[in-house]
Amino acid sequence: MFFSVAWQSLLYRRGSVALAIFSLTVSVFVMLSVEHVRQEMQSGVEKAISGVDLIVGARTGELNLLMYSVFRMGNASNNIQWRSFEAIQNHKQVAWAVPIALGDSHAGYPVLGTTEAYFDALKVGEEEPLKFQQGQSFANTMEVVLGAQVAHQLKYQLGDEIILSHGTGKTSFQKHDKHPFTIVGILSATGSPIDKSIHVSLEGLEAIHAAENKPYQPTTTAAKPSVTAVFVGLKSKLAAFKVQRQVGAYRKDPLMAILPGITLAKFWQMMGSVDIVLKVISGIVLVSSLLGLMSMIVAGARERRQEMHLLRMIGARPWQILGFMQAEILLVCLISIAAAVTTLTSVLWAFQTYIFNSTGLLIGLNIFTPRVWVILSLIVLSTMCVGFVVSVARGRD
Amino acid sequence: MNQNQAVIELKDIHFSYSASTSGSSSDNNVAAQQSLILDIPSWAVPKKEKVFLHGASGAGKSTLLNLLTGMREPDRGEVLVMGTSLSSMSSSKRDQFRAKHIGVVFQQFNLIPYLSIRDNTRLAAHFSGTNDNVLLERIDHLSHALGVNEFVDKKASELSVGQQQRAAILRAMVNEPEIFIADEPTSALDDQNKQRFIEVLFNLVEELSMTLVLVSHDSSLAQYFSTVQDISELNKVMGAS
Repeated sequence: MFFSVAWQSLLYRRGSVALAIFSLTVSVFVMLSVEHVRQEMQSGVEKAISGVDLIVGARTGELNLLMYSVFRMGNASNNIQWRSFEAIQNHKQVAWAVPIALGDSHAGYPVLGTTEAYFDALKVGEEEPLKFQQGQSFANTMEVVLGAQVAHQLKYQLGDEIILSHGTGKTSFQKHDKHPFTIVGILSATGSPIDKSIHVSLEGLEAIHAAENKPYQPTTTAAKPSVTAVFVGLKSKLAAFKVQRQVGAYRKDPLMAILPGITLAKFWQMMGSVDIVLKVISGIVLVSSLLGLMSMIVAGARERRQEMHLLRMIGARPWQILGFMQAEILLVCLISIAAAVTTLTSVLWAFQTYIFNSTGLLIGLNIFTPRVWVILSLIVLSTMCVGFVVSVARGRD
Repeated sequence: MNQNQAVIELKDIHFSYSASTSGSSSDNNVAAQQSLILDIPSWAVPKKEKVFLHGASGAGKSTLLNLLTGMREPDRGEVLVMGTSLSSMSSSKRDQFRAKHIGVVFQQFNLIPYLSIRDNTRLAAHFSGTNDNVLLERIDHLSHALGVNEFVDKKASELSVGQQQRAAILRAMVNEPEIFIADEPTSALDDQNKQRFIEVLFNLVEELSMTLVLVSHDSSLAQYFSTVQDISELNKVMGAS
């Protein structure tokens, strides 16, 4: 009964109610977007490197190493010698070590040289192993495995031949066009930067570079390929700090190791102030729309005084009238939240591919995390409080 | 007049708007007496009586009705409705009592504009705790008797003033109260609608054995009533001035 009456009351005053709903919707939308994007960035980054205990690279910034090795953003300052990789691989705490070599590209997509162990060792999402959508891992030097996104966007199929370019730009002046690679496998989509990568064997990379660089660098390290970074899985995660220290102290090659989780945490700390600014902005928007709601209630006060008197006359207790007002406010609030959630979900749905292509982050459509429920409850609660205060203050006269 | 027969009884009522709510009855100071609106030593309305209460504006008619319905409390004295003292009830009990036993129609704004007549009526029934089973039947019967049966599912704001006032009777009578109070119910109506309003009101008051108190400054209505009471004869404040 309360809600049916409240609903008809809102319909009767639909002009001012629509304005209140609109401004509340905007503020809830801003709040939820900030929260969701932050959350998805965080979990997206974590998903992309699950199962990797250490990342080893040439000495550089911690964040730089993380960004180029996992997200192919930025460049390595230097390479790792092959024997350093072997030393890491042979460390007694190391369960597996996968080398990666970056620097080439195809149609703007980064090429990643690695070993076959990559496909077995790497985990994505909730520690899920990589799966092949079609074909299998490369067995030959001139074979290539594509990430799901690459195959989809460029419409490649098994058996197609592709040519890699030197450097990571979309347009490259130096193409390895004498050495086409054959597509032998396409990975299933993971929602991580792996989807955007092109995987070849280290030997394959070495072969095309050796062929072209021979006049300039005739004696590189005995046909052993150089490596940009190494993903390491440990036998025991407890050894992570110890191994990290030992890598840093390795004398034959200037190396560093990072624990991706910890580097990420540092990164988020750095991003914390941006996060706070966004939160403050959405908080201000919420407060202003609550003020709007208040003014809607107060503005309707005079006209509704008779209505309240009538309700009292037909026997409504003061708390019932309060409940009736609160039912109206609750409806306004719930409609706004529903509108904001719908808008956000459609915007995400529409821009998901675009965001993934430009950042490598797969923003999920499900915005309902426990934190979001908390935020929504707080919004409802604060709205009800505002309504309560205004109604009670008005009820006094 | 038998005490037990009196449906409404006032005893030694004092009411003033600016008097402090905590003030006990005995020592009214001069300041409080200056704003005294009502001073009624005694008044009783017998059961099934139809009382026409008239008086100049500002004579305290509306205040008196607010006391009868328990919307306001007197500074001193007692209001007995159907033998029960209103001031002895908790405010929540009083609200319930009013909903159940007293039907009220004002000059205007008797219906929530955005609700249909049916929903207005249902809301009144809801607050008095009237059973849903009898509700449909009562709405059907009353709306026919009042000539508003064609409009029950229309919003109140879509009705003419005359239709609204008759629909207000429906809303006020759906709980079959013992007492019906009308405060200038016809002053917004033209002669034809006024006639019709009085007619249907009297029919139903008669049929449902209600006690009727109608307040108006329009003395042409007096002819229909068994008792005509001038408020200035009741109210000593007016008598003194």
